[in-house]
Amino acid sequence: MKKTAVSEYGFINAKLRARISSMLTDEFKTALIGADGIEAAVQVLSSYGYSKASEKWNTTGDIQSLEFELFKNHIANYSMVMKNTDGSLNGLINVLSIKPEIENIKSVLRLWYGSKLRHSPINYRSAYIIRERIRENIDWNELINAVSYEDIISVFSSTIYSEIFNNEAVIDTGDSLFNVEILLDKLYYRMVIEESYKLKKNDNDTLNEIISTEIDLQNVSWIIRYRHFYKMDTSKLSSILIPGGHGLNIELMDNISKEEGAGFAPMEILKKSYPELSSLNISNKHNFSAQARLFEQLLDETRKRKFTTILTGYPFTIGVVLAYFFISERELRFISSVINGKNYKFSSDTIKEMIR
Amino acid sequence: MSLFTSRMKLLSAVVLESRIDAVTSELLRIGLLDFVEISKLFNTDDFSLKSGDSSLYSEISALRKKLEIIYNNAGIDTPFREELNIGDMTEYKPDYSSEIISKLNYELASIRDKQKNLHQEYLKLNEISNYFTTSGSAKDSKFLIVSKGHPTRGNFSDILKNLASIPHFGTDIPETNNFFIVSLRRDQSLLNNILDKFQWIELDEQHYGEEETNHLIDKINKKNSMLRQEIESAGKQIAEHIILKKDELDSLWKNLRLHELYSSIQNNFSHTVNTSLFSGWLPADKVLRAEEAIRNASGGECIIEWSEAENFSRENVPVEIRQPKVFSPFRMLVENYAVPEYGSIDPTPFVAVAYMIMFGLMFGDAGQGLVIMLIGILGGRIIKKAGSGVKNLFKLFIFCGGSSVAAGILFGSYFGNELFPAVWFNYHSVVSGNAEAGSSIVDVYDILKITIYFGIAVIGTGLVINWINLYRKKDYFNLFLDKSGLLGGWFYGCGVYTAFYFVGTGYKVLPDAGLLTIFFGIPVIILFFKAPLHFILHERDHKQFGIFSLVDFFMEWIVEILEIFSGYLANTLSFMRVAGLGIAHVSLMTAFDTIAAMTNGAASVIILISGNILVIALEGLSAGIQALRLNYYEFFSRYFTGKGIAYNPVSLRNRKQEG
Repeated sequence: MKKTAVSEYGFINAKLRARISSMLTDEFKTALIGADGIEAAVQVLSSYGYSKASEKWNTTGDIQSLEFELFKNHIANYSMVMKNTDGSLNGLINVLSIKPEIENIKSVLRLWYGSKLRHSPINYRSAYIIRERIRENIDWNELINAVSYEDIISVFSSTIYSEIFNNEAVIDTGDSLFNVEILLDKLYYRMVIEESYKLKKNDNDTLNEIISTEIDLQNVSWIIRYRHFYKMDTSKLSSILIPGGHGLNIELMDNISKEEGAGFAPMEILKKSYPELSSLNISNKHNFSAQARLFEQLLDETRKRKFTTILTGYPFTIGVVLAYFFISERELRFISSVINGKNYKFSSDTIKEMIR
Repeated sequence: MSLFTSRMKLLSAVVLESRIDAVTSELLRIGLLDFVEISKLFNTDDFSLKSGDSSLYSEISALRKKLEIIYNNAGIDTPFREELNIGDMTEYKPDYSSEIISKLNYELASIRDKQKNLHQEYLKLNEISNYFTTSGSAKDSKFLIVSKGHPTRGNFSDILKNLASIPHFGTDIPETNNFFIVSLRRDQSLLNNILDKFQWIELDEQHYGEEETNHLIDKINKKNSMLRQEIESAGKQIAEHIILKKDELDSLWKNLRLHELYSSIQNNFSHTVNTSLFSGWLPADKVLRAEEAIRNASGGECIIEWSEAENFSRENVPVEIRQPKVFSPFRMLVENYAVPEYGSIDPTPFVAVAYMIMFGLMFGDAGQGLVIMLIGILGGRIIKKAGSGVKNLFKLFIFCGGSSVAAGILFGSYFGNELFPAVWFNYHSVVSGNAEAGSSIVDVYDILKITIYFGIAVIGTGLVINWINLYRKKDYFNLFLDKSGLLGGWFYGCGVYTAFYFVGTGYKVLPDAGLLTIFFGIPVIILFFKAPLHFILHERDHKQFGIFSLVDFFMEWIVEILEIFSGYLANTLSFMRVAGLGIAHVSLMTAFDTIAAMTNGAASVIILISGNILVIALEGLSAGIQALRLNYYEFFSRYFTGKGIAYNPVSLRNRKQEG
């Protein structure tokens, strides 16, 4: 029997909405940012239901252990949602869980890269890598103990990542893990978009709307990093952009490169896809960094607004599930940033500025 | 015990600046004044008054909170409020206080740092240990390398120091000059470099004996557990370090708290060159005590004025409720909703009666009620450190349990069985369709009828309370014309009469037209004039009359009529849930009895016990929530404005001011 939207989303969305209502509340954010020092911040965490994470701090005094506990909790959210869904929705969550898996892979690769190519031993830091299965069958012990790049290829050989790692050029010895990280992100977005076709039309539209903004956000962030700070060639830049966003795609980047003389202004193009941003006055095309950062902030705001609209609208859609993962990820980043800020004895105002 | 909120008076006083400290101490000692800034009460534009400086208060408050974080770290409580004594207050030394807290924080941070380093050492060794466990031995693990040998240059401990940046474990081999070093294959090149530096002589693999391997594993396990103990002990050290200084901290906390309260009082003072002015609310029966205290502290050099609460908007007068302690769980329920408006009837006793009757009707079983009572009594005794909320919750359990016991005796239900004959009627028999002969209640409709009568009584009581409140407030407009006023009451009374008349005739005949005209026709016409009258009395000064005003009047009239009819009907029928929950309770018990009867021996007993546990947990919770809901929505909506603000005096015992 074909499932209705109510039977598909009734239970899980009610559960997630209940959780969302207590996540990242203004009261919690104010209390955490306003906490006087790391000990006070941990006590705030404890009183707002993050008792496992605060317990980690109390028993180890190690901020990375606390963050690791939060990351484990974030991953557990995916498993919880998967357990309570089936069909195409379950398939999508399965694909979405690639995101934290990629984060874990990136963490291992950074440690490996630092150890092998920069001669900075992994030391105790391997303890902050998730070793349980997230989605793919990856032997994390093998990965963290890889002696050569061949070992890494072997670990990923029967996973969706094999194609990426089979091409040795992805680990750019002279530079960084730049190539591999980009390919992993591209793989994730490609798989999400492919999976979205299996969803009902409404859900497909919602997912595409959200994912496109996320892709744009990611692309803008790369443009800032590689074009502005590392002066990357436009054609190379266009090749790293993730396809599928609303406004910045490879074709447009090619066109932009032809008009390089007129000033490099991808933000002008992005504005066409986000009419709400068109009121921005970006007259100085050469003040690229400032305009890009502004756009990054505004896109993020746009994404937040989209989720707010989802949460106040029709309740039986995939939007609530997406909003949940979005908030869960944001929560993780927010707590990590504030706790680290507190650990470095930054003032509340500085932390506020940092997390803006 | 008072039916109404306590009568309040506003004190306004002027004292000489030179007496301000003595007066502040005295005000803190008596702890009666809920301060109000002078500028909020009177127009002070014509005077050049300086407000109190709040920076000192903020500074002390921040220090106290810092100190409380330290207390929390050790899992200990701050001193009891009862231990605060104004006579113990010593000079506030900000540098001294900050220094104690900073020094302690620094010491704690050092312990934390040590704890973190130990933990990271543990993580390193644990990785090695884990690979050992999964592979059975170091030799068999593809991630581990074991070196056995000895240095010919330098000594072994220097090698270990050099290996600090990688996970490793090193130990001597008893009765030999050799050593073991276990490390990770991924760090092999670093290890080799270090071993080369010390001209390490590696022994052949065949030199590995089982005994030596066991020795190695034993040593790793011992080191691992030692590190775990050290980490744990570092955690305990934090608490112990704090507890060791508890006396010093207690004395600092008390002094900070006293100064915090002291400065919070002085924050409310306004100043001229030579005088200080302050104002605050207090219960009318405490007036003499407050006046005497201020006069004594100021050496008689003061001016005190008293103002009646009636001269102020009720919403600005703080509310003190005095009820016997026994009502505390019900007061919690009321305050959880809102604070009653000043001068109105305190709903607590009414809520207590209504809540218990509702709970009893929904959960009428003497045996299960006794269990709930026991949970309440034991819970309160076991969790002695619980806050007032939890304590009140346990007290509520005792009340609810008591109510169930009483209802169970009336309905002859003892763990779902009729151990003794019902005093009123047998609920189980009625629900199962076997009502006893001669019983006044024969079927579920009769039970529904009881709850409807009860609902009418509750709503009626709510209406009467509202009329008394409005009369005391001199709000005659709403007293006569509001939907919960006399006109609303008339509608409700007539509606109830009409409904019962109609049901009494077998749903065939309504009262005659003349009566219906008096019941509903005339009040509906009167209601038509409500909106225009309200406009003339309250709105015409700031709102213009126009054609749309007429439309507004008409719409308001229609909406109000609909609201009155549908609202009262829904509110009354809502009480049928009381019967619904009662019937569900009986049905569940009957179901478990039937299942138990299908088995025998231990299985039967287990089913009955688990059935009773389930019913107590599930139905008890449902009945508690539904009783609360009926009070909040059906009862409170008739009279409770919830516009009050709680009386919150600055006192040594008041926890509410500890932000």
